Amino acid sequence: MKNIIRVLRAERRWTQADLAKMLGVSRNSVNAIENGKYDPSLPLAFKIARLFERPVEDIFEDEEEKVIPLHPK
Amino acid sequence: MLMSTKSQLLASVVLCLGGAYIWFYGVPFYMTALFTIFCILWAGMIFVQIFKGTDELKAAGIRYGLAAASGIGVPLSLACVMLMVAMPELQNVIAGIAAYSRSGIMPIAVGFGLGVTFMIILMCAVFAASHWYWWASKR
Repeated sequence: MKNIIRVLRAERRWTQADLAKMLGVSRNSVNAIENGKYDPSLPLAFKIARLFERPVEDIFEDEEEKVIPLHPK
Repeated sequence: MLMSTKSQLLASVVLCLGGAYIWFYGVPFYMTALFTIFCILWAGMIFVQIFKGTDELKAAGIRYGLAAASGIGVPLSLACVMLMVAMPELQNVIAGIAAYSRSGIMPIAVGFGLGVTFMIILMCAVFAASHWYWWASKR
């Protein structure tokens, strides 16, 4: 899943280690999430969103195809 | 985490070899009982670490490794059993190893114990390989 965490982190001049400490995870986790190699759990995603004061959907971009409802309104 | 995953893996293999030592050389029963309890507690500690006290990325890697260890390791172990059944020469080697035991335990029981030890070491090897692969894919 794509995200803009690296951009948001750079705006605040935080290192990956700083962000990892604030989130309570390892630096490896932050690196993997930024590179889109690992999708964080829901609690961690919300924690990231609260830290950057942005909605979750602003930070993470779902790359899946658009879902078409079975029974349109 | 108290220990890294690699250290835990190494410690698990050492414990297995300790078990094999018991099969071969025999120790007083109370030591066998203490060793068994320690192994059970060790396995429990590793399992609990998946859910508590570790980074979620590391926990995901351990879950992946455990899934591969059971999903691949168990069929692989069964394949080894089938290989042994199909190859009398292999059976002779295993019987020879079991007969070497000085523990006083019947060779057939030693063979069973060594089989369990072999299966655990095989699953540890599959865990190590899949865990390494998982971490490589995250870099």
